Amino acid sequence: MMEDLNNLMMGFSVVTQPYNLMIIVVGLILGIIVGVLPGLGGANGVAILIPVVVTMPATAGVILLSMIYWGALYGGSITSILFNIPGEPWAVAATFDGYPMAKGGRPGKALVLAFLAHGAGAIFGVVILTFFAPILAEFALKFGPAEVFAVMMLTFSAFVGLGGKSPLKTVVAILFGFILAAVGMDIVSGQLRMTYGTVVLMGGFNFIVAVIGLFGLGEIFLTVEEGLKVEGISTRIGLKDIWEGMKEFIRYPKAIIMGMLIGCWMGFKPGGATPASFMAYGFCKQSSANADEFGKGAPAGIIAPEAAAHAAGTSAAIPMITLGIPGSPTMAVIMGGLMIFGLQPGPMLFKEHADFVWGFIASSWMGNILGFFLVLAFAPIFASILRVKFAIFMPLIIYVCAIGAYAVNNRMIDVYYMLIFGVLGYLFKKLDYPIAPMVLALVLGDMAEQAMRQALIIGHGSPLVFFTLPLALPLMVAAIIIFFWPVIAPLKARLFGKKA
Amino acid sequence: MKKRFFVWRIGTAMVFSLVLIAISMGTAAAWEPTKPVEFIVPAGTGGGADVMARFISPLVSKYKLSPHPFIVINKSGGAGGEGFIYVKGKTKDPHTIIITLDNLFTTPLSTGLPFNWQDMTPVARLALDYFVLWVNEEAPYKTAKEYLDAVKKEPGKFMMGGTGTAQEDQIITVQMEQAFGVKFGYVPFKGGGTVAVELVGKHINSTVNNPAEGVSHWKAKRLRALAAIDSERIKLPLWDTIPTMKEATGVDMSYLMLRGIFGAPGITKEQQEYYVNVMKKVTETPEWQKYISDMGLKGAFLTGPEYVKWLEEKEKITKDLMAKGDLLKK
Amino acid sequence: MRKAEIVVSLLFMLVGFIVIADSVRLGFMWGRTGPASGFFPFYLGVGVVIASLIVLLKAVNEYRKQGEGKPLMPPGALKPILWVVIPSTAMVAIMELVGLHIAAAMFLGFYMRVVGKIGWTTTLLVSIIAPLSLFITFDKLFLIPLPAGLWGGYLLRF
Repeated sequence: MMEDLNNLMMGFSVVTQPYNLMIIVVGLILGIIVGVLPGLGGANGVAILIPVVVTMPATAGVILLSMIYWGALYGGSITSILFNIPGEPWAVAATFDGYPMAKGGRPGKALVLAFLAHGAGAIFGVVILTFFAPILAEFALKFGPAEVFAVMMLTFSAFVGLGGKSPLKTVVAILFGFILAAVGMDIVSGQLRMTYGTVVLMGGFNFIVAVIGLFGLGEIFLTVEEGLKVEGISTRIGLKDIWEGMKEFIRYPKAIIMGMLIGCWMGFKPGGATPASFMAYGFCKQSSANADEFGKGAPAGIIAPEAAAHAAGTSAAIPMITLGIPGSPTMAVIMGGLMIFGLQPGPMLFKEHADFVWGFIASSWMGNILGFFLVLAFAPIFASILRVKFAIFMPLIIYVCAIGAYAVNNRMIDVYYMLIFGVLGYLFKKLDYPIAPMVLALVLGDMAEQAMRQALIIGHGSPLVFFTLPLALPLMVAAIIIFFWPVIAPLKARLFGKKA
Repeated sequence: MKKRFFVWRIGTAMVFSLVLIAISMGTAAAWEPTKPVEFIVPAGTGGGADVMARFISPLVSKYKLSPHPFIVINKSGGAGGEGFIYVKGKTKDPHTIIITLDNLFTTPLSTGLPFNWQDMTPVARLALDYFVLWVNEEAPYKTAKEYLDAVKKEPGKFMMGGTGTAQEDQIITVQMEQAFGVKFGYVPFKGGGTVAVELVGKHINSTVNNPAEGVSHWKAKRLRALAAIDSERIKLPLWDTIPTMKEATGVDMSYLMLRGIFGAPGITKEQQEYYVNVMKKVTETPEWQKYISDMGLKGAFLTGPEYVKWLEEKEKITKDLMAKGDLLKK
Repeated sequence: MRKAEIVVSLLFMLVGFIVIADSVRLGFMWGRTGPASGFFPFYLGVGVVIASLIVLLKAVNEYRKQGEGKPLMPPGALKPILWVVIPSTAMVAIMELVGLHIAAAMFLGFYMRVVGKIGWTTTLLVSIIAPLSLFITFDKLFLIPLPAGLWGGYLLRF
């Protein structure tokens, strides 16, 4: 511990050099922009800068890349909350309660809550990264395909309670999400599924494109339906909002802690920030006394997923540094950047390039803390867009959505998909097919199916592989219990009620 | 303002023409890009091909090899199929090039995609990827022979992990099965880094990771390198301690993966030559030399008819192995 | 509303059948090393067909008993929605010809002036400045070439 602190101090002396500080601020601002723009994701943002970065010194270069990531983590929720369009995949869960709260006239509070949650998640993640990285790396090694599948099941069962009014329609929505995820190449068998010989369908349906359409455009259609009378909401963010947000924030310690823990765990293995935010949202709702408020602007519904997303985003650096496996797509690109500098991520990085590792960790401290203040300073600018007349701001949103949908995969067809998903989103809302479980199925479908089939190959075709100790069995049991909790809970209450 | 702009224009024009002269003195290539070049990566961000493309692109700008930047664009759908089809459709467009791995052969062969490498203009082979047979350091097998003997005793019990299905890792597995009369269970994963970690975590028994994917775990004494899958030892410091397949088992076996560049179909000779020259100059830079040694690659620049001949042979071998492993599209 | 319900559930059933057909082609049984490629899609397809069949029967039943019920859209809502859907689809179609930014500029101008009845000055300013700044951000700063369409490359040469 003492040694770690000394190393950290050494790292700080590197990152506080004026040149590196400047890079931190520039990187964060770029990152926030990347985060705010839908479709321009963290992974793209970082990848685009790699050519710039190779001309820089190694530490400064990697700092710049990671700052884009921290900035994007913060920035993603701005678009989610203000426009119901997730700027980043991990910000989808921020739309569930953040947007209703903003629409209800409290955009400032929603943003402040989200940023505070991000800040808390970030600090927790960075602390873990600083002091426990090698230990957690050993733990991560225990997760093979069977364990990963069990974690996926846990995420799904956490989401069971999030359906709409009709359970049947929830089932249809989830299955439809899985079907969309299955289109394209099946990585386990290498076969093309449901592509019907077309090249267009080979790439499958991208989760972000679907989300931009379902949430963003769908919401626009719903708004337009009420006519064009929508007035801008007052969105000045003053010190008062920040103060109120802070007071509100500390009233939900359970949501904060839940988000931080789930996020950290999912970050280093195996899911990354997006499933982490979904899982935290699901668990927080299920365990909440007033679950009915969720989806209508509940503060805990903003705090839990956002804290989880950022904690996961931060702890995703742990497997990258210690094992050489990226915990998220963005980390994969950052890792590529490290390799260009001849820094081979993995267990030897700490030993061979300690100065670099500690510089990186210290920059994560700086970046996440400075990022909080920067994003807070930027929020009023973005929020002021809401004051613009709807007839101006709406076509602009569609324009940005189109750019986002295209930029995800550089494919024109995705822009058409976005339009179709927009209409679908509207219909789903009207007919009460829930969108959130469908999106979850779309994002996790591939991962879950792959893990399951990998595990079965390893287990020579026997499903018993999912019920092995020490990890898979308890995770599966937990998933099953939580899945049937709505049935178990009343039963338990009745049993104990009779005894009493 | 206007004047300054003018001076600046003249300045740049002079620099450019100097560069032009420098280039045209070295070669006879007359053609040059007139707009940014799309540098297609038929794989996702962060993988081997992507990192290499993003490494080359700033070198092109730094050494002023092109008046316009090379812009990296990922088209990863369907194991790269989307990228190949895209370039195939860019007939006579000299502003599109693509970097490929062995998925150039394996993707069309395993999916039935209407594409063949001859649909594009070969530019150059930049490097070759080595493969190494790895097991967990705690496994009882000290040599490749011991391990393969154990695999032989219990067919199908030992799990070989690899990247993707019907791609290089699985083909090497098939090659090994053929050469030694053994049978592995093959588990596909999404990326090489993940495969290495699954091996460290003992969820699988062996891998044929690239040097770069396994090096860190190897140095940390978590993985053991049993043999280099090539006829010669890897000529890089540290790596040259690993025996070849022949030394370790007595059976010669080699598989090297392409890292090559292609242009759009139907581009002119001058345009093709321009890219050959750019790539040649890239591989001559000190940055490149350091890069391939860091990444554990075999520097093997090849172009012209030799490159085409090599591709033809490689395609034949790949197809043959895939047929043996029942990996071809039926 | 119930008519829409019926149509949507029929569409879902259709999707289910398409999926089942392809899964059968891929093989939907338990293979040698676990489920084959079509295993999951097959059951997904079956599930969708069954679930949407029940939704369909319910909706048909209610339609018979109680008629159409609440309309899908509130009266007069269709027009403003079409005023968004049609121009934005047109924008995407025009994109193929003149590129994303120019198409978007036309879309912005059209929507603000014709639908939104915004003044000429604002309309012109926004529909020029917004595409220009996004063009600079994406195409020039981040080097993400957005679609230039068939002719866009010739129109925007700088």
